[in-house]
Amino acid sequence: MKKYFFIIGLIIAISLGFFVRFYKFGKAPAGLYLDEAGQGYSAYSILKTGKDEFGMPFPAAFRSFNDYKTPVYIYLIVPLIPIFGLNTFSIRLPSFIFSILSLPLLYFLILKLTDKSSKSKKFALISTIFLAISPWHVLFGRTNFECNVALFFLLLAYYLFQFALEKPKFLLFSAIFFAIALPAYHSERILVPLMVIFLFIKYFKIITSRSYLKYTLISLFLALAISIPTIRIINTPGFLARASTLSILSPKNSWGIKEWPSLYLSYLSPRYLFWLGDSGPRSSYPGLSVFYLWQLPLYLYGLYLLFNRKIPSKLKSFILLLLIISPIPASLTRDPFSTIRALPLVIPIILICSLSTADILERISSLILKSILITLVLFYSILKLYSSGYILNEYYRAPYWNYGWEQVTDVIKQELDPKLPIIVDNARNEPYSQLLVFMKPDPAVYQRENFEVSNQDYYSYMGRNTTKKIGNITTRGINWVEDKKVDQYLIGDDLAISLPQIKDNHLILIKEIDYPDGSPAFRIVKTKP
Amino acid sequence: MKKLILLLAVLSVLLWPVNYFSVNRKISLVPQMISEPDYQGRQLILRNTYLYPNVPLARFFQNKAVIITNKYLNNFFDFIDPGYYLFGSHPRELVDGQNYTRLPLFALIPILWFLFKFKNKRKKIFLLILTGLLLILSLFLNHPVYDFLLWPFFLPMIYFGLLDIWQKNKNLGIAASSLLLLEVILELSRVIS
Repeated sequence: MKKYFFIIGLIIAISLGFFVRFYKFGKAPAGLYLDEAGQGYSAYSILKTGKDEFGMPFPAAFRSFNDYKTPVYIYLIVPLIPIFGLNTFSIRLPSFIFSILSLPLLYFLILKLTDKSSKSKKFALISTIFLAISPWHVLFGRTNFECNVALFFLLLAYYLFQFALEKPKFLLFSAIFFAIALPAYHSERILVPLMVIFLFIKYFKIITSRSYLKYTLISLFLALAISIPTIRIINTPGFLARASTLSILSPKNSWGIKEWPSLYLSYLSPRYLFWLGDSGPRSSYPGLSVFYLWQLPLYLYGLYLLFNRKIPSKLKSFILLLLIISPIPASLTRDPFSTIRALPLVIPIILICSLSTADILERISSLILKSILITLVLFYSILKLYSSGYILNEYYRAPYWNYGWEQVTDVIKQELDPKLPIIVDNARNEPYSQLLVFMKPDPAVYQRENFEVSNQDYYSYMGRNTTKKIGNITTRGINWVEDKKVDQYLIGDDLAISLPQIKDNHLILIKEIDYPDGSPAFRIVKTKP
Repeated sequence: MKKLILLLAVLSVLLWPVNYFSVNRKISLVPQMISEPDYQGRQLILRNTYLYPNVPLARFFQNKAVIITNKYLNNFFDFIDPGYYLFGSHPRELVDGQNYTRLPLFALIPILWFLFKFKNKRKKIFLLILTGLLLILSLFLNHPVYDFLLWPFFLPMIYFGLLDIWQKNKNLGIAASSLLLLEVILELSRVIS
């Protein structure tokens, strides 16, 4: 039994992670945010035509809403669509899969960085359990966020590099996954080079030794070859689009480099990690920060242990490396404490908390007391996650997840006359991506009817065509004077189509779709010309 | 050398009272307790209660005590945020406007050294008293106006931190002291001018 203790523990930890991520997966958060929908339809378009919705064959960065989304996640959705269809479930599935895969990866990575003793295994198991129930990791594992997938590839590359220190051929695999992590998310464009430079300097003697040099050179060539599509567009406005709008170094932002120390330090501050969390409504749960409150003393004590106890050098340098570099990309953007951009930070903080937890548990001799303590903490944490992540989040955050478009398309398909035109108001948001996902029009037809940019100007033309045509549906702002003269349907939110407007313009209310809190999300009306 | 380090530590903590008096000219010191009635807080709790599938779960996470503990923790986390002292709580400032820089940025090096590396028999007692004070001050809604009580604690932290750095690693001591001195001179001259 003792022989299998850690394997059973690992299986339990993965099951726990699976349970908290899979519960109501695809249904909670209710709604499909426009970025998620955009990625979903891009993948669908690639699957059906080999081109994205703008007609570009296999882009290296997806134009989408002119934010040029990173490509790895979108290509990962492609093979899932024939199996699960184009829906919220399949769009969020890659994030879930890689979130789960990160759990055993972290466990084995820790073992690789330590001496594989029973003490190390305990530490690895605690870390895996902490990651399994981490609100930070769980949130991004249930929704479509590229950062989760990127983190997996980053850890995998680092893990394989550790193997490479024993067998040089593993350098090739490590290089491949570093090269995949690089375009997987914006933050990794900074993190991967920093990590590679660190490893190169630290293990310079080994990787340039006679037995390694051949593999090192082939690895570099391989990584370069995989990165060619990214390198090809590196100087285009499209590739730099996110940086130019978000970076504190950009002249467009009022914040400057003088803000950087405060932004950087916020990522390590207990106030943000254990109390405030992310202010973004889609990247946080109400009433729950990125770590549990009970982890605060573990973090402080863990920091003390990190600097004062003897810790395996590989593990210590891994923790310190990630702790120092993870907040860099996020702190260079204007948003305070952006947990999406700083996701890799979850790993060193968890490892720091695990250091202290392992130390505390070692001091408790009673097995019963230990078991009670662990059970209580896990039980409380899962309940807290349930309370904030599934109850309060569903009630308060539905508008931020663009709730209601699935219901709108159900009404369009089932209740509206298909011969009449439909105008969908887009004054405050861009609902066309959600309509594309739930209506599933033929991508070839959509590409033909919605030309925006030629393939030559795909990465450089920053103009946008906000009016989209999807069959009999047009997304644009409602023009009350003209639109009420035509026999058609109008769809909009509470501000676009208010109750007084319905009365004043003699419209027929077909359906009102409400948010979970009962407030109106959308109204579908018919004109009476 | 000890006297020079002490002088540097004194100069470092001088920024706090200078900025305090320049910001808090008309501030009220009348204490406001976290236990004061909060109608809006109670309404929110009541609304949230109905969202839960059963009463025990609702009671566990949504109760009157949560209103007070949340305020208390909010205050406590303000105090243990390095940004509170170094950047006037930037980038998430406090709502009451007590957002002024209390310490120079490079004071962080000796403070962290003191907290995590410095070893001394009396350090535990020092930290216990400091924690006790933080726990008491967190009881006040207007906690930032009383934070001057924390001020004397930072002088020994910076002094002993710097001294220990000098003793353990002279090069690091020179670097940390130089950066701190430069920042202190710049900050104080800015405030005075």
